[in-house]
Amino acid sequence: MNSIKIDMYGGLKDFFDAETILPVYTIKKLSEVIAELISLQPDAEELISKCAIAINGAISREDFLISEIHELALLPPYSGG
Amino acid sequence: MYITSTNINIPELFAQSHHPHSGAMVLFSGEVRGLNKGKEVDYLEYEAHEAMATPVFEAILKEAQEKWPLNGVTCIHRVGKLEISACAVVVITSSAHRKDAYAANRYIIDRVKAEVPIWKKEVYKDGSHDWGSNCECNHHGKTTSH
Repeated sequence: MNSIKIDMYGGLKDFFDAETILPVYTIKKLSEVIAELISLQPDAEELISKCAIAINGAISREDFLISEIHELALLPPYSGG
Repeated sequence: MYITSTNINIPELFAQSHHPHSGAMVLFSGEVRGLNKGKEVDYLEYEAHEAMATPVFEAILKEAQEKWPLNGVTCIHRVGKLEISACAVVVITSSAHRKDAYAANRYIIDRVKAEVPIWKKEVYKDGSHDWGSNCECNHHGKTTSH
């Protein structure tokens, strides 16, 4: 596995590209991917901690094992309407 | 269609929503406010995770129709850049009597704001911006809708 793509929504775009590519060399738990994002942008930690994580369009658990075939999206609290 | 990147045509939607068994129609239009937190708003930008949003819209409208005897229900949300006073979201409910149309309409917009993956960026005239939030929450814990 070489990299995973993460779609960023809402205020996360103040910290990350809308499509953020994260290089990864081993299969990781979702929680490890999140920790890596926080290490890249420590100021985004509070917002990231409020986010839901979707994998292939479904909200997922942090112990999910990520591979490059998965489509990740980080979803901050919603603000429609 | 629940999400559109073009202007919501309220008169056209309303005209399409009449039903011969309905004595009441309620239309809610959520519109872009020119003042937020004491700052002048220049424009808003909405974005959605459309693949995830569609089934949530479907579930909300289905559940509203199960709770109230509705003859028709419509909900459409804008994405993209919206100017002041533009319609960001419209909900139309029709029923035999007004009580059901009012209640269902309120139920739908409250749930849409809380549950549909849509995000709002408020851009102010001074060049700064905020990301809206409909609740002081995280997705893993208790939510409190505003």
